[in-house]
Amino acid sequence: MIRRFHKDDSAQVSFLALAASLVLVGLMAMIINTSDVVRHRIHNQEVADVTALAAATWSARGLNTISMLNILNAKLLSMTVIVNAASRTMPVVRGVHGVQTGIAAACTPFCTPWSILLQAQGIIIEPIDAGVRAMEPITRNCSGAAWSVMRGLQTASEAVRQTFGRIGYLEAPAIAARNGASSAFAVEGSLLEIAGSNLTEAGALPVSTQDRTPADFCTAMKSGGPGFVMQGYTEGEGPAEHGRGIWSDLDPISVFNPALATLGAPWIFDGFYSSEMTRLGCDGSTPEKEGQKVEFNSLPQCREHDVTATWNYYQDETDWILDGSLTLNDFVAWTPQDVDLQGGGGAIENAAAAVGADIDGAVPVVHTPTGRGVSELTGQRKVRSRGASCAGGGRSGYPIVERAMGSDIIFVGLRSHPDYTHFEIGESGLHRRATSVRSEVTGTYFLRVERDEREVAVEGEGTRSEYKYSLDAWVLVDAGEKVLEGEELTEYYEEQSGTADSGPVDSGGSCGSFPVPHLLVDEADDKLRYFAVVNHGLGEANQPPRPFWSNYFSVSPTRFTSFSQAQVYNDLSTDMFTQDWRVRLERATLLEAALQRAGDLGLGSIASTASSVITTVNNH
Amino acid sequence: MSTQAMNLQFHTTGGEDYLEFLQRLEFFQFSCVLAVIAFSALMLRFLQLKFRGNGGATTLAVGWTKRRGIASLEFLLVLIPLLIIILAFIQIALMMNARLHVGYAAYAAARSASTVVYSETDDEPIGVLLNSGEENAEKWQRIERATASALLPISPGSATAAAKAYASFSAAQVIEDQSFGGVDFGIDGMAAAGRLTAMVIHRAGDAWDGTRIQRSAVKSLYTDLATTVWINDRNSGGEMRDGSEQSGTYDLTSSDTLSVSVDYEFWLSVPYAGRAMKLAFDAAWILQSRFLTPTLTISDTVVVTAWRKRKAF
Repeated sequence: MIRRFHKDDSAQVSFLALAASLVLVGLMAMIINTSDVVRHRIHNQEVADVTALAAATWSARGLNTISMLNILNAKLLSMTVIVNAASRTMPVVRGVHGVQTGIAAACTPFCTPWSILLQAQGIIIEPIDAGVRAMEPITRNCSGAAWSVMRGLQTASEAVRQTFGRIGYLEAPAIAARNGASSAFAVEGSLLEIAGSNLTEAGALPVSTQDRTPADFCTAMKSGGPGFVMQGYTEGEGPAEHGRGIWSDLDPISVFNPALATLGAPWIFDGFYSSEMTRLGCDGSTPEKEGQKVEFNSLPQCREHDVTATWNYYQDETDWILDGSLTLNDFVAWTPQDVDLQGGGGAIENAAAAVGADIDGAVPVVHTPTGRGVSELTGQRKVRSRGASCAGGGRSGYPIVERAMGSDIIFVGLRSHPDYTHFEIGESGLHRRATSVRSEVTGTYFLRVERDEREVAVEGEGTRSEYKYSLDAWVLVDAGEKVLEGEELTEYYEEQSGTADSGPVDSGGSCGSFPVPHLLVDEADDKLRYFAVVNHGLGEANQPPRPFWSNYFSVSPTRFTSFSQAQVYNDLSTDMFTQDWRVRLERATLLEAALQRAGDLGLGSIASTASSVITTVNNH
Repeated sequence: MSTQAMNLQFHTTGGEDYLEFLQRLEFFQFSCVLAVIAFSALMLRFLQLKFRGNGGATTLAVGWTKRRGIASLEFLLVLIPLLIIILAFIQIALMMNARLHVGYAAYAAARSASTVVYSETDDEPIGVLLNSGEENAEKWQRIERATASALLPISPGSATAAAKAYASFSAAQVIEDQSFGGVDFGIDGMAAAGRLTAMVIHRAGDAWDGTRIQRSAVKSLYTDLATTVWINDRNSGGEMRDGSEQSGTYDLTSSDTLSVSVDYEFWLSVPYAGRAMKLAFDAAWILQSRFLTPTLTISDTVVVTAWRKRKAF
């Protein structure tokens, strides 16, 4: 049979064709398999991207919503300021208008034109007055409807803060599943911080009202920001300033024109406006505009902006006096003669400004000299001014001063000079030795007192001792100035209005609490990043149930795992008054960072090694 | 594919969605293979019929009285063209396979570029890349690392083959440029080490098999040397597609799209068929074919929308 088989040469070419076909089928399978794998890898990566973006998008939505609510509250607060200032202004306007109408009537017919004009003014004043009075119940401090709405909006912000991020946690895997993923999850970056995670805050948006005050609305109300520009406000003008501008615009129709004798109502209004703003903890003055020079009043500001502080050096001395019991403290509250306490440009004025006038919401203190030796001083003179650069960091901004060391003279920084004692002016206006709180504001000074003694012959008494005290003083008269622009200017305003030492004069009172904005917390960065992991089994998803025998013909499914990272960002501003929060994909680094952190915490060298490997093969 | 996944906007240079493009490519390749198989079957059938003409007495056997050896002759006559066809098919299949991998590499590069270019490192601001040779240049390095991972499976693991292939395309560049400036031995050592570790531990069973480590290392090094990534026609060394060179930083802040291309020097490893394929794609190569192992540049491009820093309005 074997011989017959050898002799039978039929269909031998078909064997070759069969062999070739097997090779070709194998090659075809390879290509199709590669194509399938590549397509699924790309698909899986895109699903991971969508999952991370879905979680991040809910955060962005939440932050945009909270920004919108903050803007609404800033507008409502501005409205209360404007209406309340107007309602305090109108009685004055009405009173003055009535007096003027009476005078005009008395001098008729000579004052007839004036009388006609006053009648015209009356026609305009009445509806304005009626409108303001109609608004009063809405804007009345604490109890007005506007305040209820503001509190409601703040509550709504809190609800958004608590829920939106968590909705994202639920939605992200659902979207992944709809795109064919076997399993998926997304977490915020802060949860990957080994030992640093705050699980109770997981999913909550990284904004807070903690430690916030109504003064945190100040910058937005006065200077606006990108969020207000998006709403049509002029750049650099917030809703409160906008309202004040509207009032000023009434001027051209001569209703309040001082030349036409209604007592200069814009100025009256400005006064009440400032008062209302100060009540909220805001500085009522008009903010500096872009490109305007800003004067600083403390050495920390001087250092932050790399400018030069100015110190004045004064000398003074007493006459020869009999009482030799004076000490350094008796010369505290020494007052340079060239200072006008009512608004001049000297050291004490600056000192008063430092503790009050330049800090939002605070009231300028009254300078109170108390030292007994101050009255004995007679020969005061300003010797020189000296600039001290603040570019050197923590202890810079102080002048270098001579110091006698035996027969030698060396130079030391004033702050370290042992012969000088550092004084400051406190909130109450009393002078005291410097503390760390306010010791570097303008007006702070360093005193050195030396005593001279002589014997004087007195008829019938023999001799007596007389004393003369000489005093050296260095005074910080200004902490530099600079033209601020862009972010530097914005940050300056935020510091000035948001962290005023005194806070609002009325921090709630009968209101219970003022509305405050939800602002970003310090550690927001990691909470604004989302890390998603998606798993997909090739041949697993969306397959109908297979018969039992299919196991003999199928290979185990290939599993793909992809990860992705998305970031919530706001290019325009993170002031939480700008509704421009968006999401984008970014290079996935959270996992590497978490593993590295685990390694650093001693949780095993494998974690560090894994982090290094992932860093080098990370294909994001 | 859901609409949400498609919103990521990865496109081919023709503006076609990239995943759809891949699906169509797969269908095309599948059709090609079927067509070739059908054609081959028909040819074989035709040959068989011809040799079996006249009731078993073949035309070749005219004048012969015995049929001894005729089967061997038939076998030989069929085997040679069949071997050529099979080798060609193998090479074509490997090229198609490589084409898919390069496509995936282009996707990986484009995705990486879309996030990396607009991130910020210590020395590279948003939208700006330093040439990879410069100190503290990170962005190009990250993009190239992302690309290389997709190309490891098609890179040669044999040191000899890799060296020959590398020498081949390096020499080709030298011949083309008429200078030795085209040969670049720069290797991303850090990436190579990390990749090697990942490849070795990928299969736990033979993790510490010396051969595997060696093959992984060779694949990793070859991939680095054989791959060039272009973003808007400029590569990591500052060279432009037209051959000119740009020094200094690469500023992409004003680009609307990132067109990311990957060029990969694929080793045509099948004997004879590789050379034939090389000649089919590059006729001028015949001048070098005596001493060079053939490699073919396989390219793919993916276009992704650029993310630009928004400005206040």
